[in-house]
Amino acid sequence: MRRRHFIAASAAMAVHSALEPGLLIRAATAASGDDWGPAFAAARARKPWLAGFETPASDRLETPRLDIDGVWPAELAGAFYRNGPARHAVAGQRYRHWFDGDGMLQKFTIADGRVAHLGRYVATAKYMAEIAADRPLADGFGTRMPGVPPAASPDAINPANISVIAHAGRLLALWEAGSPHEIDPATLDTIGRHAWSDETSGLPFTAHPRIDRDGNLWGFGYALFRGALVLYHIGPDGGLRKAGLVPVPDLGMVHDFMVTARHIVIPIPPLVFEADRLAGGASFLDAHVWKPDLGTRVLLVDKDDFSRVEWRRLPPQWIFHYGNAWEEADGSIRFDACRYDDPGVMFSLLRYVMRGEVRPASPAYAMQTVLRAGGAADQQVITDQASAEFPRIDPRRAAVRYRQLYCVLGLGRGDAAHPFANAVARHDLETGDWDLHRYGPDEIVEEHVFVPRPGSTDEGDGWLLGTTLDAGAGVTRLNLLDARRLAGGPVARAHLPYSLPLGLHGNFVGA
Amino acid sequence: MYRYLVFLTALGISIAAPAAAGDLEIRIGGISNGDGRVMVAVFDAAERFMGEETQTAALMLPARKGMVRAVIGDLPAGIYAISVYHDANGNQELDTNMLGMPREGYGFSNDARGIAGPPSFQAAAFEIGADPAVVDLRLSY
Repeated sequence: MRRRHFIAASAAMAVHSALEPGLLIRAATAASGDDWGPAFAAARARKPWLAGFETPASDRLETPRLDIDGVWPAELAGAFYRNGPARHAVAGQRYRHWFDGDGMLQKFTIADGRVAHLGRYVATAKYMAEIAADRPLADGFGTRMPGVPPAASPDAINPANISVIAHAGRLLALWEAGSPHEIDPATLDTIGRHAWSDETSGLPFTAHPRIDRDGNLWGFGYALFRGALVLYHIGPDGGLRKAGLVPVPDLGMVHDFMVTARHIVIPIPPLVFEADRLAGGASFLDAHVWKPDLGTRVLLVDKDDFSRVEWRRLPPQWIFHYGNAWEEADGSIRFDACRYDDPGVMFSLLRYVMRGEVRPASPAYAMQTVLRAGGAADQQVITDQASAEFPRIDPRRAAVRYRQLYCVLGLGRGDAAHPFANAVARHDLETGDWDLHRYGPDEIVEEHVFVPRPGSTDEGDGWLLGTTLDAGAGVTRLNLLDARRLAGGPVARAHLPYSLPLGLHGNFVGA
Repeated sequence: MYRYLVFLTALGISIAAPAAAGDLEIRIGGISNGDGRVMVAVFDAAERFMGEETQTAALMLPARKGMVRAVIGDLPAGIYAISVYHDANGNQELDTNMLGMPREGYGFSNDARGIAGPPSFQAAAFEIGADPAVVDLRLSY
């Protein structure tokens, strides 16, 4: 499907919210008289898709053999791990942001044409302490819990709820402001917090580390009280090669980054953390202030020497996720992103959905950016009428020139049963062609990851693997699509007998 | 006044019964394991709080999973605050990462917490008066 057709097929999209600088503070302290739980329950009775924001009935979900449609190829063998917030209330006290709840890992084991499911919480210190105490002991990302003192450390409030990645034989459940948690890949038992060294123990570590084609793991973390970014280079053997600090004034939450052959690339949206607001009772999220006058600063760091940095600048924009980046011979850096005009979605839709409300927010445009060697920058819209998220690529093209970008889309919002993604898409960055599959009207589409076909080498030769929540049927499904022909729809599906809370990110680990 | 007290009993526990005015019983909970020592410092003024060698009293207690307790006698009436850390590797330092965040358990009287740093003296302050004082605190890791 050509871009113009694609746009024509998209009805008017989500309304822009008018966000003024400094007006992002919301009262978010859960307190007596709290009505978020009852408000959600009432809305849930009317809106089946809110199943995606419910706490699972059990802390262990297990189905050894899922019902399947189609044919799961015998050559596809391994486990698809996903992570996401799942425990959305503690002792009846409902969180006030989607990103707050304790992380639950979902493992789909695929072998011999069959699929099994196992879901278990990450046994963080926070989770274990709150289970034992049966009361909230920690604030969430977007919620201050009543009577909870300041955190003793980031890991004291670490819910390990954003992503899960395998590297050097370790499976790591990731948050972004504290330690990774090492997980037993077979049982999903939590082994414990992982540190690559004493010096980096307990430091913030991103939910979006990048693994390059040589097996190196690159990571970063934001240390807001120190006004610095932490940088990590982990070797293919899992050992720390180097760590460094880059001071950054006016720093705030930074969710994702990129690497190229030579550089670490970290765009810093102008969402600035103000510690005084946290001290004054705001949640971590609400201690951030949108300051578009700062623009988006882009930090370029030499991968071989973390002390060598350069700065570039882009217009103010909020970005959760990048697909990939690469560097041309002249030093120009190209990358794609899902770009919001402002971070309103995080303060509105993703907050108030926790009480069952749908609040408008600016959509995310898929964008391509060029940071030219001379310092200039161009940004070009790929989609301007469909909200795009969860960009992924063929991992064989990580940090090098790539052609295929995969993402989920929100198409035709006007008649949608829910405000989230309803399609999965491939965009050919060279031809501009789109190939997409729109799921059923009741299905919320979650991140789809690219799985290379064993034995293949060409970019794009493989499958997309991703979950959908079918609100009509009240179940979550695992979908497999031919990555070169998404329009054909899933070639195989596996149906859980229950729904899962909507998750965030995952990765496939081959057997 | 600066006193350095070391309790090293065969059981790894220091036990005394607080009875007299000026006695301070400190009960430290939440200790993750029995490695190394639990280091306790008592301060008597905001300007000396968390300083180098500015304690009114200091204790080194053998670590023990769960709780240790100790009693310091004959403290003058006044306002005090306590800081504690679990020197699990016995190097007599609170080990930190490259950002200065503690890598060993620590805590303060009143279970006071600062935001990304120690609490204020006032937040951790308690009074020793005519009656024996008991301070309970838990270590955080």
